[in-house]
Amino acid sequence: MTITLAHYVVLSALLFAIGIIGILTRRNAIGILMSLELLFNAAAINMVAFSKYLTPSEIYGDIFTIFIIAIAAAESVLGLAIILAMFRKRETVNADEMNIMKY
Amino acid sequence: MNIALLTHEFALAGIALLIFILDLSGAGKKVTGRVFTFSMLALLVYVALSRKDGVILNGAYTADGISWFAKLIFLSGAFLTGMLSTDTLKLSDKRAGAYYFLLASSVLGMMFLASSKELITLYVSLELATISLYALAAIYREEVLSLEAGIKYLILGAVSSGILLYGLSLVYGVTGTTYLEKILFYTSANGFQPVFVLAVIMVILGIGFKLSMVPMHVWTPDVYQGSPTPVTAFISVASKAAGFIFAVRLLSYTLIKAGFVWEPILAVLAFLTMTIGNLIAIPQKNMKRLLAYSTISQAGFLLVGFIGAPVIGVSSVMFYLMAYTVTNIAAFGVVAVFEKSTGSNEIDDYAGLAQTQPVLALTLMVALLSLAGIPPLVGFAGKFYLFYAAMEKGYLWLVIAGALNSTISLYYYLLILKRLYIWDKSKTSTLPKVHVPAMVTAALIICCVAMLAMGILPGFVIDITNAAAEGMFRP
Repeated sequence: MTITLAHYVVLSALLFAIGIIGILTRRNAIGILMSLELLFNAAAINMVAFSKYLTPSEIYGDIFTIFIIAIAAAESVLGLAIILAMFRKRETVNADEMNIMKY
Repeated sequence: MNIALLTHEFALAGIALLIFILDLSGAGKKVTGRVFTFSMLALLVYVALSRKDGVILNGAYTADGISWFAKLIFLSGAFLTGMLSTDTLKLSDKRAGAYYFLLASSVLGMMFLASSKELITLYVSLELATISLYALAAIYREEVLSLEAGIKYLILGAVSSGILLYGLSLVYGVTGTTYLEKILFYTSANGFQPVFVLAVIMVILGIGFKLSMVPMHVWTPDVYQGSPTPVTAFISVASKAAGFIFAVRLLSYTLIKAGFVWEPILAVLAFLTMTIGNLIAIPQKNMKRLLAYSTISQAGFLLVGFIGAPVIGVSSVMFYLMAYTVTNIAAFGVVAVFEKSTGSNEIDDYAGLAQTQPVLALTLMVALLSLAGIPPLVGFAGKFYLFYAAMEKGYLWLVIAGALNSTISLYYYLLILKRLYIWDKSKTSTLPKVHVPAMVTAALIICCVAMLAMGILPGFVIDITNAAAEGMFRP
């Protein structure tokens, strides 16, 4: 079986869906951050696949992917730092308990 | 390549580095704060006087009227935020350098965003602006409220940016290019493709977070309440302006051929944003939360103008963003000094402010009436122009809904003003007297003068925004 563009697009759509479901259902803030990575990876797979199959002579999609990876890393680092500071104050990383402010 | 077009950004990056070095060499928060504030003022004047037009990097970076005016909005927001910050922040000397550095890098991201005409540059500069704001929201790391604001802002912001990114990847997949000019050329030549519907919806959801547009508005009240007040002021004006510049570049300019998809969606969302924001604002007890819901409804008004006729719509949005910057910073400035002196943000505690601090109460009144759209303040001229842009396109129902919403918003602004001026004299307040530092006084005076001047003579600024918008759509 040859791998075509459609396979990549389906894979990335699945990853995107799994990421969204993970963000909605995870209780642990670290788990939410991991699901966020899936969202970014879904977009990155799309970019690389489109770049390979549609514009093989140009590298815009690949460059975009490198930037996506860097930005996703920056976002996770900041998220982990805030979660760590939160853990020091409240002894929990449970997203359900981050509810001092509501309505 | 004409590298001189990047002078403004290089200057700002230099200022950020200077603050970094000052911080490393042990300068206190007074020094870094004043250096930040006055270099922002200097840069604002420099940008205002030295407008450059041109295109570099194969069209990825454009300096035009829109980007020039947007940079003025961002820099005035940063300058006024700096004036509010110096005396009201509860930060130690060691951490203040990080605060101003992050603020400067956020403005740098916004300035790049205003000039980008290429998807990678747009996305990276949007993230530079936003990630700095996540850190700023959580900068009071000893306070649980601030941390909670930071984590909520970060998670919801990252979700929306993931959705936006997926939408952008679909746009790239259809057109095979990341340059906005080439995407525009592609959509003109090849017509509309069904996958654009999905891409446009995802882009709208992604930008909707920055604009605090329903249904992506849920973060707004929590982040506004938990963040340090000057940061809230900055998020409410500059970050929203950045979101609208992004929307102007991507939707009203590049995907104008897909207008029949995004226009009706945005019209319904504008109606929902105005109405939901206003209705939830009425029962609020906390001043910062109330202003948060009020900014949600303001985003709805801005969207009404945004979907109006192309040139006039963009022009009215730019004008209102400038008006909104000075108005909202005045309101948050009063909240910041009140919070600093009394430690409270409850609306009930504002009772009798007109007696202890009559000028401060008057400033809050001017700001709130301008937000409600009462002449001769600038909010009236701005809203009038937004509604005019929507009428040009024939959105009568939306304009009627907007006018009704203006009235609802006047109700809860007047509830605050009633507490300021008419209160139970038998209950004397136990809170300490509000002290207004000199820098904040100066900022409030600048805001009030700008509100009055732009409200009485809106023509000067509207001429500038009109010329800028026409320049963008000229081939």
